Amino acid sequence: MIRTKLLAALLCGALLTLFGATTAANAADCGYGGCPATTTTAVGGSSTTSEIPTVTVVRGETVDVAGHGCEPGATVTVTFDDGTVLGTFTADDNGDFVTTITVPADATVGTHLITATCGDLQQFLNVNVLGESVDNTTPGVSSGTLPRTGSSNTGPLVGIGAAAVVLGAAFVYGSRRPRTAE
Amino acid sequence: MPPPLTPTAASPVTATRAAARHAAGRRLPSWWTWVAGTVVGLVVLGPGLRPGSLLNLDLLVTPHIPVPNGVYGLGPALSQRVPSFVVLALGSRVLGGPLAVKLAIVAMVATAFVGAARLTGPRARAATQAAAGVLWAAGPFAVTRIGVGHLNVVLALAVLPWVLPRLCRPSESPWSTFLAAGLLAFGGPGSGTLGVAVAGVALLVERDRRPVRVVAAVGAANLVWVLPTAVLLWAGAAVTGAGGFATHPGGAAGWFGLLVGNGFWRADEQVGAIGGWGAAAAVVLLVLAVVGRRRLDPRWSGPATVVAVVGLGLAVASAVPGVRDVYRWLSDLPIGAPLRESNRFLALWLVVAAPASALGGEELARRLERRGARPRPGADADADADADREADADREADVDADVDAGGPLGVTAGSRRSAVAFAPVVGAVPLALAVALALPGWWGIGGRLEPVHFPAGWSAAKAAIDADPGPVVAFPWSEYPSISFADGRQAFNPVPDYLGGDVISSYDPIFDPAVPSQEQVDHRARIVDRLSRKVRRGGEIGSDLADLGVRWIVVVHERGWQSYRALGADRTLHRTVHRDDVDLYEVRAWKGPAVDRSGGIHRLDRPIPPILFTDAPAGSVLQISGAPGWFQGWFHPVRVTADGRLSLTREGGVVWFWPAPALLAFDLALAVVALRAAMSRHRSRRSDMPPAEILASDPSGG
Repeated sequence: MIRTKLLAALLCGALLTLFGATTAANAADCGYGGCPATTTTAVGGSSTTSEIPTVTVVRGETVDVAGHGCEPGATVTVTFDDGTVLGTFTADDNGDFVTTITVPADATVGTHLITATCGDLQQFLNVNVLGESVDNTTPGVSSGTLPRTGSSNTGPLVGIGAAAVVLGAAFVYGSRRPRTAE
Repeated sequence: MPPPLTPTAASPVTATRAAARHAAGRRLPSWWTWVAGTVVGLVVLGPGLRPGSLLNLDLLVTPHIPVPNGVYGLGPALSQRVPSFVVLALGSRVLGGPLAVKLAIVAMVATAFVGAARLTGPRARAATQAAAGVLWAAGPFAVTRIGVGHLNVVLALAVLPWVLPRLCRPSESPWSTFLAAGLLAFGGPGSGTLGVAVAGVALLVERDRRPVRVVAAVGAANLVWVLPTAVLLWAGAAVTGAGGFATHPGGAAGWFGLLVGNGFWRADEQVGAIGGWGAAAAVVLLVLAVVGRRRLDPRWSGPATVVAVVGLGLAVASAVPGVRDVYRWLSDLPIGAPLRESNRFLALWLVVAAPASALGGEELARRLERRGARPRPGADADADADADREADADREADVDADVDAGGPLGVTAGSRRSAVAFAPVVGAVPLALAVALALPGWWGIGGRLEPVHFPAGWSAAKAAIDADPGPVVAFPWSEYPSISFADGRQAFNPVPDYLGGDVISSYDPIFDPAVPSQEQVDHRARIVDRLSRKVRRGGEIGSDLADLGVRWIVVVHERGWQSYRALGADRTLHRTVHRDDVDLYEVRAWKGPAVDRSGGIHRLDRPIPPILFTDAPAGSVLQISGAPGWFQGWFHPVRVTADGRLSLTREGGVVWFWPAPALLAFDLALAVVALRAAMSRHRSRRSDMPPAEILASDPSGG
């Protein structure tokens, strides 16, 4: 009987292992290290390293982009990291620009790099693209959200479950020993 | 077979024969670890066992794996695959690339499992061996590396536990040290440097050290990858600094997680050992490792402990504020380049921590068992003798320690029963934690090993290029594109390996988007880098590519391919293949493989990468990537053009890359020396022990 329970417990653990712990790897774009967090700007003989800011946005929605340092009236081209041109704008008399671009609706979820180019100058922005929001309103229901019925990260739970299975099996084994020994 | 101990009246072990058998644990046949290791390897691969290629970050398994050019000292880039991938390339010709690599992964996991299990010693229980094996061969560190395709590090995981005892006593036998270091060096710089680190640290703490011999042995063994790397650096290949590869703990808990394999430099590729749960498991295993360390074989456990601490220190150094700046500066130096990607050195910690923590659980369990063992005055002598034989299989020192600690006297029957019942639970803690930590990586490592099939259009493009060979440019211009047919996973550009031959592709890791950096010898790539921007702005590039000697442009329909649509309107190109998943363009103005000054076309045969035959006259340009080291005949160097091609300085004939035969001859000589060393060692020891076992267990080293 104990052996049957033990087998059942181990089977449950195995099933959890196979189906519970699979999580898809993130599909980050950009480079080997994902999207770069810093960039270097050469000014004269020296170079300065600066952080690339990151904003979070749902794909298909807009992002405000601002920059400076262009020639007055220069053309600014904003591109997505797949090469898609998101818009072409003109810098103001001070060489600054502020504009709004739309993140492609077919962008993959994950971090992407947006580049604004004016002449030889490039400025960058990381956008963490999220999937579309789920419209969970139905006719007759004016508002509300779907109940949260699961976990977004089951890995640790499955791991703890597997550990419990192993320890439980060891306990069953140990609890039988005194009778055998005596 | 342990020698029988003589029971005495004062023996503290008084359990019955059956109890003793329980206490000692059931002995399994020695091959069980191989079976278990193979099963673990198969479970880790999981869905990856199905037919198909594998693509994820550096895991690039195409239907046919090419021999890495690095073995000849040729680029385009520094190769991490030299020389081990030569074996995989040969295997792929027989089995196909995917099957060869999958078999190699299973074999490496199994070998790593058995190696770690063996480090627990011959008297360790099965659960202890399994815990060490799982933690080492399928734990967070191992599955993360398998998932991202760092197969050279996986090879190190397979080899390191077997050679650790030898490398911890490097001066005892330089020949054995040479063999041990050579097995690791076979994996290339990623694993060879681990062997150098172990031998180096052990040499410092060794009493009777022979530094010259050890340095010579370890150095000679690692020349197998050092020399090709030196040739490529001489030819102009570049290395990115360590800044982009710093250990990534990812929060306060992640620092503790480092103890069990956390910290891969790309957080999204780290598997297991993450968060509070990983930290808690790490702390428990650390405590167990401290307890179990003294159960490791004393012949090597001292130096190994120092090696482990140094390994942990190196792994952490690239992440600690203040220290990381020094580490980065050091690794940016040419001599410090092997320190790049410091998380790799965590293997030196884990190879000791895994068996030690497993033994720690067993040690605590044994103490509980002895506490719970009921005295049985008057038990027959035979039973006691058997009990002693089995239960005293562990060290006598442990028994003495238990007697000092109180022994069974003064313990109530209830607590004795509890102690006996809970002893297996305590003993199983390392295995439970190992399984729990490793579990997220099992069954395909979170989808990373899901097999993929290259689209049909790719094979059509390959067939067209094979029919009329010539240099190819691969667009989109990206080193690590997201691959749509691999579920959007980012992977090293598979086009060059898939097509084979001369393919110009990007080697810019984009650690800084404002600073283009092509980490390759092929200077043509710098020109194509500019042309890729031109075509994305809508310009025509056909004539530029013709001037560069490029015949084909392949545009695979992966992320960003739409920005190359201008190629379709380029009148200087002819679209040969047009499919849903690929476009192939031929450069109309392409002249031929070897072009003389007057535009005449000549023959160019290239049976293997470092040797060419041509009938072109002096001044002709050969449409291949050039580098210093190409010669015509014996004494006439070939010029490299400004755009990175070869230009003949005299009438054709044989054109060859002189470092290639030197490297191959050296590899052959090294293999012969290794074989002779192995054979001489084999003759000098018991005939029934395999060489790997000798490396791991022979105390004499002679």
